[in-house]
Amino acid sequence: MTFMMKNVSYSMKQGGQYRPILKNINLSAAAGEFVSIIGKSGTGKSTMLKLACGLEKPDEGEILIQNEPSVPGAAGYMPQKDLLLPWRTVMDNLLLSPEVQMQKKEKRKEAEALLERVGLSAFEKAYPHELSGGMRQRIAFLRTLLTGKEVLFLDEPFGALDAMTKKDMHQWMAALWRELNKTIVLVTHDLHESVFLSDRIIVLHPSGETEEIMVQLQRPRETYLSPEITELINTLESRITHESYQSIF
Amino acid sequence: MNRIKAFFKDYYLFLMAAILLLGAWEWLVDTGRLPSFILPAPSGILLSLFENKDILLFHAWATFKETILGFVIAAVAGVSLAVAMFFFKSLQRTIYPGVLISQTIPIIALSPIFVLWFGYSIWSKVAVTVLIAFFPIVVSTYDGLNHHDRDYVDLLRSMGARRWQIFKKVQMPMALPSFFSGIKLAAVFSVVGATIGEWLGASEGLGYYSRRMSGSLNAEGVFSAIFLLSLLGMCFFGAAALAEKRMFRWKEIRKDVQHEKVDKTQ
Repeated sequence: MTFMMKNVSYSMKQGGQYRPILKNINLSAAAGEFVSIIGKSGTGKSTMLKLACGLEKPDEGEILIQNEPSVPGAAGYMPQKDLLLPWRTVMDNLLLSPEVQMQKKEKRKEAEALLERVGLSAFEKAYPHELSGGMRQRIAFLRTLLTGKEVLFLDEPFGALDAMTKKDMHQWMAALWRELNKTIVLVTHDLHESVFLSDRIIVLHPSGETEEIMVQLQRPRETYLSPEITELINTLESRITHESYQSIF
Repeated sequence: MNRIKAFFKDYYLFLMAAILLLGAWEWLVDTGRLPSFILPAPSGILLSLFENKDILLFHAWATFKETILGFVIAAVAGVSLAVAMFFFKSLQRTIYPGVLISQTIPIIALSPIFVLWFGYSIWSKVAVTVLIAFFPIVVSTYDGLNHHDRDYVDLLRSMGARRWQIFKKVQMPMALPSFFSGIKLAAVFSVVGATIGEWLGASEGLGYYSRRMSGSLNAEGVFSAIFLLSLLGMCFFGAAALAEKRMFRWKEIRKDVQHEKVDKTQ
């Protein structure tokens, strides 16, 4: 397994008390797999990703990336907001991670090639505020790719985009992922997004339990709501709402 | 041409008010409604400026030197202290309250001590300037460093960045807007500091000159010194504002790029 979480528990300090956020989480992703984690807000999805890329330490359990304990810098991380540095050009934003790793010179060619591949070469010297929301997310994703890591953690990367742009982004992401052979773990609350993109979906319940659903649809997938996709979305929805209904009582 | 137009668009109301005020002022003095030893007419001040231009220039140069020296020392020391406090919280807890308390001391009361220590040399004036300019720089830089966005820090950490790298690539650039507010304040205060220093003991400088003129009841002389001091302050402020603008050039909207904003990548 390229990525693995074993019996991970985590609690956050709030007002002097420790509130458990995650309990005994087990998760894994195989090399080249696209895994989505869905669940209601407040179930600790984002926290899970922060733990996964080593930004936070779990209270218990083990997190492995390519069989090594996860530390900051072991995986690529794309947060909810694009977080492009507004004073850097597109190219300099892409080279942020290589700069940190002292490989700026070596990676420039790769960054140029990536921009070329996604048709954004013309914007190499543009500043983030000169780009549209969708373009900013693309650049943010390319920046994550340029960390050069095998495993990429994406935290609701398309959450802030409008519906049309989002749809384009899904296709774009699916196509790019197929070429790149990276392991991607995506956190989202968009059911359609998770069905369209993933090989496997993990439902995270407020109780801390997880449930797995395989998506055995052929790729490239249809962007419209085919009967199979609709059925899967309905299944997911019932799993999520059913559990939260139970947890009230 | 467009820039001149933009300038007038921004400032025409102020310019009109200023001209009106100066006109009224001139008229009041010229018609004898206001004695000129109380308030000299703008024309009288201009004349005095022109007649004494050599000596005024000499004194202005002295004040300029004190201001620039004091400002640079305050900036270097202030930024260093702010950065050190940012990196070492215990240092911040030790020193920051002291820095704040030091501001409650009326510097004008402290200045005779500087004369005692540094005599009538340039350094007694520089010391007052440093003391006045130091505070806004420390506070603005330190606040700016602390108000960085946590998410950016996490992003950098996820890339495996070390603390110094995070500082250089995210925290420092994000502190710049606040830093520049402090620098602009300090630039203006520096001139005030140098003037106070000169009032308390000097043999040259515009502050010294204005005091001498007031001693001999030469209101025109006092006002021409004040005019030059304010001009000096404006120049320092302008220089700081210009530096800020250059630093934030990336914010300017470039029309050629805006046209292409339409996403053509699908």
